[in-house]
Amino acid sequence: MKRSVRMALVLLLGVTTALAFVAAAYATDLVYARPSLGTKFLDPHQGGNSGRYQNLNLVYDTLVFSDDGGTLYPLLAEWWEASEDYTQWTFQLRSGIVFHDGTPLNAAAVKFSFDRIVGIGNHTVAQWRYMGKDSTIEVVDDLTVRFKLSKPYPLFLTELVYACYGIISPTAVQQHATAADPWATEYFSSNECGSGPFQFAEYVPGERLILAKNTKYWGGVEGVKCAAKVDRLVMRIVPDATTRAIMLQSGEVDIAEQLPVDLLGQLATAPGIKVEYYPLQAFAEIQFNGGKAPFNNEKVRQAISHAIDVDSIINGVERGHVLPMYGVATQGMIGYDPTRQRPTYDVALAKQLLAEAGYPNGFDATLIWATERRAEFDLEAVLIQEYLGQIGIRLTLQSLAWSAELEKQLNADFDMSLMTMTSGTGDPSSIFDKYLAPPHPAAVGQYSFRWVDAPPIVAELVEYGTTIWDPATRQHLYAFLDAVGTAAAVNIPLYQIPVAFAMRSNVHGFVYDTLRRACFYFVSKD
Amino acid sequence: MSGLLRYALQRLALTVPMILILLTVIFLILRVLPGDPVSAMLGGRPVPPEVLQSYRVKMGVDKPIPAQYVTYIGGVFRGDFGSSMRTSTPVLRELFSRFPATIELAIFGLLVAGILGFSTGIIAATRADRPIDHGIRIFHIASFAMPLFWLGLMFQVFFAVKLGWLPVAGRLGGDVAFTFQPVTGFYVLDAIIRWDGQSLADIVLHLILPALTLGIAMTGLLGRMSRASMLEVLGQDYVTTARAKGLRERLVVTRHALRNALIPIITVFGLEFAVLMGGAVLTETVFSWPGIASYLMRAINARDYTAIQGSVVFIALFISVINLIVDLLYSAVDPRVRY
Repeated sequence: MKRSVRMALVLLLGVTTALAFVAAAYATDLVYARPSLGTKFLDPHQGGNSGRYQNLNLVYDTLVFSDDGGTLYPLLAEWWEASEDYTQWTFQLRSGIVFHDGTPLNAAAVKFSFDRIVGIGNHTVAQWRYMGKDSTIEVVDDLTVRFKLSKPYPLFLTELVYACYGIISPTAVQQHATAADPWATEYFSSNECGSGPFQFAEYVPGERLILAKNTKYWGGVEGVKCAAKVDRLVMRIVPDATTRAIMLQSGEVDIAEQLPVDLLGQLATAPGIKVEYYPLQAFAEIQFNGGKAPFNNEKVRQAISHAIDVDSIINGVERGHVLPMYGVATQGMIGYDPTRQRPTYDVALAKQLLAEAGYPNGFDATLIWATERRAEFDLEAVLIQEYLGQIGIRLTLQSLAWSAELEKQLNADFDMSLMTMTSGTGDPSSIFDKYLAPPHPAAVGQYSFRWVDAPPIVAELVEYGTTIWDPATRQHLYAFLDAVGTAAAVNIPLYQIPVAFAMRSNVHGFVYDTLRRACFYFVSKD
Repeated sequence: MSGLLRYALQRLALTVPMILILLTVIFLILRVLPGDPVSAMLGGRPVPPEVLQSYRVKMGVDKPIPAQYVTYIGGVFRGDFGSSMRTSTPVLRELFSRFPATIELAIFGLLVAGILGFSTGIIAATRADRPIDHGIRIFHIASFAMPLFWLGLMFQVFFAVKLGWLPVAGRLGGDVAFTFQPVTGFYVLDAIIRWDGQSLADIVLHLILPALTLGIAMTGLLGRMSRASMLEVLGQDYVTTARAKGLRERLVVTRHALRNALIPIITVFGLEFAVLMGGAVLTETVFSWPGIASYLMRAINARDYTAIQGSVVFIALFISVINLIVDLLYSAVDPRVRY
């Protein structure tokens, strides 16, 4: 009897093992290694870091979408129209779309989602967080929704592209809401209920997030967003960059992100692996404390801009994988002008400018940066120290935790800072606002790296840029502003940062766009 | 009340002031260090005052530091470690969910260290000053001196990439991750409970490299201690008497010398646990092991005060309990020890 029971158990184990193998063999899994998921990584409406945005686009849809060049496409909205003064925006939704829980996606769901952004009240990049308090949303009929904005906002569509405007299922939110948490923020920190091409399957903290293909996806828009091609997307959390690279080499993962330049160089020549670079609307720069002497002196900033051989940083440390900057507008952004002359590397000119500024013997200053922000900054800081030493600026290097660097910046307690900057929504308005507009009087902290003594007309033009829609006019305007800022050496843009992804050769179709959306729905595997 | 129980209770009582001192030190250090959790959360953006205030209230940093301290200490003694400033999830829940991963790795790491350290130490002692002794001593020094993260990376490159025998990182492979259903969080145990052979094999394969890395790093001290302790015992009169009686060397070592050599080794074993928790920070990072140490690392980077405080206290409590167990083990090994 005992023997037969044992035999039956062994048989059962064998069969279940075989079944598991068979099931695994027929599913196409894409395994993706990344250092972390970010915080509250599945809720579009909660504030947090940018690392989570690449998840949101996979599980949520927005009303409007854009391609890599910034062209707008209808996504959940079939069409839209704006009033003459850009205060009323009407969207007609596609019919027949359902959320992952089966709830129909309609005008009421859109209103609910926008109300949730205001209701949660967290600080996100979403302008609606503030704008929504004075604006109203009207459900015209089941599939028509109208936004009545408190002030003209021609860039509303550009804003809506961002993942933080994902539409969430009201049924699911209400189901998980409590008296203390009416918007179910705790549940949706690590769960989702959108209508995107992937849907939540499993999350193990610190270990993995698994998204499964949404087999009922409505189809998306040709060439812009589509149904998933793989069955499951496994995001493995691997904090160490070298480990991610080794996992890729061993075939344990298909795609790895955030690898330092030296590892990417090794992987590019490894058999069965390819490295692809995607330009991001983000750049590395040297920021100055614009309100502090001697950095409030335009000639000092210009001297520094001529003392640093930026090309040697681009070709030496970054090995030519980054793009040169011609201002603060990055490639693909309105205002980008590659014909603009970049500051030349000219030590004699730099010394002359420094002398004219009243510092013929240079001065002492500190350069701060955070390695966790960009690993290459460690080496680049040393190079900058060398270059500035040539014109008599004695630079003390101070590597900080990123949170400490941010705190110093907000409190204007620094001289120079090595930083990366990104444009939120991809529109130039947010970038130019940081450098050229006067500080907001009602804000706590400030962008201390701004051009403090900018002529008033500059601030007026920055404000004007947010009120016009015509792309050609905006291109001229922002190119002009960028030229003015570059001439005044408000900052020293070093290079546009591309995001590098190393992947197995059998992975095809992967796209990471300039808005930090990892488009896994395009990906297939041989 | 038996002496043993009284001793255990006394030791446990002593952990209360220890934790209090530790918490105070950590609490103050975190607030003195540069880096503000609110700035980190807001990504350095200037914000309207009411938004900043709402964040400060939510994170509990709006009150004066002494008030924050009292609130926090009060919470800890009620078993409430607060919520993570970064993720808003209760710290204790996060710690408990990650605890099994750390413990599982620690147990297997200690197993490797115990087997390797103890056996090589005894072999070296019984063959003192012979070539094998010199070889083992070099191995002990090397294992003690090798940087843990480097050793881990070398193992990954050799066993996973070159040979393709073992997985690089994580607790589970892709295929098993979809089917495996944890019960206790101790994956080896769970696979046995579930009678899931495929998962068990995968879990053990994933455990080998991190456990080996952690274990080898502890082998040096344990091996040298075992050798020294054994050599001392082997030189004592009663061992000479045993040999004079004509007892075989193997019996002299296993029956007479070993037990007496164990006391200092057990002490080292207990102390090694503290070293092991430090090593776990590196091992868990290199091997993407979702334990408490990797949670602590992330919390430090984000200046997540509550998560850092909670993790440190949790680890300290754990080490205290392990050391208490080690102390109580003395009496089992050495009858002369009475409590």
